[in-house]
Amino acid sequence: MSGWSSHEIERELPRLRGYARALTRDAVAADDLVQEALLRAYERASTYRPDRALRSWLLSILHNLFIDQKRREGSEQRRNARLSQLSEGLVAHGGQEQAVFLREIAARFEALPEEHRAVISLISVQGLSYHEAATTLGVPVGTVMSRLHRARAALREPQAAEATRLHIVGGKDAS
Amino acid sequence: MHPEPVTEAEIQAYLDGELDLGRRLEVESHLAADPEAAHVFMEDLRLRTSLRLLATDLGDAPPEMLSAAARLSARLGDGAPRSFRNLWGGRAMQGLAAAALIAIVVLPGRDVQAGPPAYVGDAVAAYRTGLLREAMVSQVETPRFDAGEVQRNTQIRVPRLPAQWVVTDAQIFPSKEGPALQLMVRTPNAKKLSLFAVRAPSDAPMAPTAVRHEGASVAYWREGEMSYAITGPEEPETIDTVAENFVDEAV
Repeated sequence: MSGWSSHEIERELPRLRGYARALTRDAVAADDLVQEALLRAYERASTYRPDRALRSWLLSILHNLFIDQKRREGSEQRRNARLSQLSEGLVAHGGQEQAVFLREIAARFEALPEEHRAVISLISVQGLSYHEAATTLGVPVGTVMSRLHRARAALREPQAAEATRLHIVGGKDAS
Repeated sequence: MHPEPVTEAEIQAYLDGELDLGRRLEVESHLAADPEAAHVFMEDLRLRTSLRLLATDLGDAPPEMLSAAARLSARLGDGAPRSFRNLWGGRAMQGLAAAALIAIVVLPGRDVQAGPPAYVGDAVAAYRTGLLREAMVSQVETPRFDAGEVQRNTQIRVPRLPAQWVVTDAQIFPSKEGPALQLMVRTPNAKKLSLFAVRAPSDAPMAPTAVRHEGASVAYWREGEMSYAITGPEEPETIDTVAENFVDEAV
């Protein structure tokens, strides 16, 4: 099958970069991961079957690379959820109140376990179907669904991010 | 035929654009009549929009990324490399079929003596998927299954179903214990149930025990090397009775 324009892969770059950010929670590490995924995809081009969706193929290479990296680093170190660069400059999007709300959501999202960040990013943000997400992650559709449900429940639940919140504003004087 | 009740899983599937028009209307009618469910739905919508807003600010792709993308395009466009120019011969050709992982569902610590066996989580996931498959246009149900063939290939002994049960969908699911069989059935009172069978010794009891698990009720039991579960939307007591009658009839 020919007719790959570089345009087609380029079109997937925002998705790859967005997903990599959701996994790594760090813009620089995310772009490094995408770069490495493109190189690995190049090495494995012969395993690509044209009947397979390019999108899921690239995303699953990226996902597996991320998992490998984590294994190399040993057990997952629980990073403190930081208010990432994600929420910088958000005031431009709307009023102060909206910016505060978005920061809150960013913090909750970053506090989710990686499995949950993965399904939320793939389905809610990158717009993949359940089936595409299942192919990307190499799990059954039912597993994708139950992870997604739990991830959403945790996002709705303000306490979910509480444990990893860095600064608690306010509080009372001890009497 | 009256419509099936709308489940939480379907409302989520609606949000994610996975339902066909007919089922979308059911979900919309349900949300229109249930302010609390509508409120949760709007919350989810607001979360999704927020996350998308947060993710918009990617900036331009770095030049080396663009050139890597262009090189990959060129390589994929080449098709299979010709052998005399194969510079990549040392590469192990690995397929990308990742082993299917199964999420083990941890029950919140309620006052149950011990959590149900892990396969119960798979049974609920399979049930949800079964309901969703029915509502999805792109997923075709497979109501025919051959008990003999299933047993030969998977070693899963398929219990004899009560005569009035109609199988609407039969699927083989990957699970940690190996392949599992799931049948979606419609009972005479038009209830949708799922029967889940996996060849795995588990600590399930010999007599069916029912629990409420993630918004569905599951009755689970063991018979020799086989573990079974029946999942449905009703109360655990009801599912428990169904399972007990099922076991009695199948003997």
